[in-house]
Amino acid sequence: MEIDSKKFLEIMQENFSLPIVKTSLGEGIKMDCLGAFIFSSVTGAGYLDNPAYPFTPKGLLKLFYNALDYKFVTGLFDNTTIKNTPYNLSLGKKFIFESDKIIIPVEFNSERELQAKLKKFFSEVSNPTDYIIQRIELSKKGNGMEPFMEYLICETMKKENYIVESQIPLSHREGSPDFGGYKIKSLINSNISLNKIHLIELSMIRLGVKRNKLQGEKCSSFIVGEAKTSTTEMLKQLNKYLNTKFFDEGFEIHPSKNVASKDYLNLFTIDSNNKILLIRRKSKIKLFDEKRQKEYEDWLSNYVKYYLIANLTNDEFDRFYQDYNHKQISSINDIVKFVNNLTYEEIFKKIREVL
Amino acid sequence: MALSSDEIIKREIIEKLGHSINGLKLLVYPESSNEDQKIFPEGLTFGVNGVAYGSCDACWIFEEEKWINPFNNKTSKDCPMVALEGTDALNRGSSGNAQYQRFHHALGAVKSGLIGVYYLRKGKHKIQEDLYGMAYFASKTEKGVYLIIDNLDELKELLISINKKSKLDKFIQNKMKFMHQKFKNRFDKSYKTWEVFAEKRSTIIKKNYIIKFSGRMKRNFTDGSQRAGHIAVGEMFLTKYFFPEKFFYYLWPKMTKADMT
Repeated sequence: MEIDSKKFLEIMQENFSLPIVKTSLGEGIKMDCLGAFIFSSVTGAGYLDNPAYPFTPKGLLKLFYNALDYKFVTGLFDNTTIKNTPYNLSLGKKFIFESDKIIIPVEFNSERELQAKLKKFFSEVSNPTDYIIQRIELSKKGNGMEPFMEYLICETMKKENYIVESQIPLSHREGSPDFGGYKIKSLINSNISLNKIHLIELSMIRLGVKRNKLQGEKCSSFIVGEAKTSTTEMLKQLNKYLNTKFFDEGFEIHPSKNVASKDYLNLFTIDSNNKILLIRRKSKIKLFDEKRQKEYEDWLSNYVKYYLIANLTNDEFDRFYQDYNHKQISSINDIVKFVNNLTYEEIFKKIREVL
Repeated sequence: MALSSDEIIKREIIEKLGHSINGLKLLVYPESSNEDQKIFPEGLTFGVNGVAYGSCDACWIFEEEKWINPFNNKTSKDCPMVALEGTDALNRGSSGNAQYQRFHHALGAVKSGLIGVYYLRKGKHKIQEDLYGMAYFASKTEKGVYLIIDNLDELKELLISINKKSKLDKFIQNKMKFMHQKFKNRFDKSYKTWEVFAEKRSTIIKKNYIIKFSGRMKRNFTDGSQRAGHIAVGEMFLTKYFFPEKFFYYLWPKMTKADMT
């Protein structure tokens, strides 16, 4: 099954009960601005701020190169400066969090064709940044819809109490998994209820993201997934991730695959009625190693702190650091040492101060 | 995954120059697209006589102005004026000859008679002076003009001057002077003569030809994770444009005949 414009609209409506609206560029899905920001961050669909290269936050909000390591990529931080946070983006691009957005799937065979369509639409509408363009690349097998599948599994596993993320940091050798979900015991046991959320939403508390109280969860759990739309083969890659021994479960993510490649894998797919279908693994074989998973959990419990810190502006963070350390930040190592030693409660107290 | 070097450059271009400037329309494609690898006008790759060079990251065109593409002699309805290859390499540890590796991407445009720009975004490292020399000598040899820049203000100045001949000529003249001076200062300091250059840079100068030798191996060209193949191409263009009058041989003593087949 190829996900085209029609299918995209049906899947979004069927699974998330979002309204379909008509535009001169075609039908679209209406979504609130916070949800639309997550959609754009995961799928790369761009806000129509210009017709040549619509803006997307995808890739801007990353933090570390690899798991178990604290080496910054340019993203949330740029060296010792807090840079691409949702809050900072909201200051520079006010349109992002200003009104509801309409996500329009646009089919095209060539970039020039797409640009011509967008240019025309851009000149016709009075508020182009209210529209987000979901590219449907007909020239590609699978229409280039892997990121959309990543979005679907993120939204689904959020409901199962995970903090979810696409394109997660792992290692240079294993690559970057398309999907990850984390239940972190230390976070669950803290007074802060911050699961059932996309990782980026941890940085959006200041922008109005609501916290979700968790009930009944006591244990850590880590899941990983690989999405494909052009082929059904994803086992080799998924096994690479699982071989790290960090994860409890693995997910094959494909719009039309019927059966998982192995009985120890879950399958995330879409049924003939456009409903998301999660086929649970038959074998409960243990995939993780306690020691390795503990290392990963310790790292993750720090990892999420940086996303909470990203609710602060750079000046606020500098002052926060100086209040604790009585000196200025002079290196990335200073930041890492400071943030890793903070408790969730300390960070949250600081966020409340600036709200 | 974090933003790639290309993505950073493309976003910066849009932020600073917008999607159109001075009547020129910007063509830029997202990373997920492979269409930049197609020949212009569909893609952002240029070349001559059926030989395509690397793809560019951005191109500024005048719409509805015909252009005959020297790659295939086909007439396109839009006329490309400036093609840019960009990199964030100066912020990513490229202090040496790794900077040459993308030189050929904008070269296709230069050979096609356009203005080719290699934009190395300002960073922790400086631009290698050789690169200025390569672009300067390529501009002397080829149909178009090759410019090396490290900030987009210069590019803006170029794009604004594009339809004012005297202003454009002056801009290019000044830029050529600057690039040549950069190259010459370094050359005089490090080599003084081409003989010394040859000795220090694995080059043998003969009367009618030149030999550039290096320790490249087959895997440098066949293993995508190794960048040495790209650098070897950059070094080839360095030698070619530094000695434009001479026939050029590239010697890889570590490669066997079997490696070549």
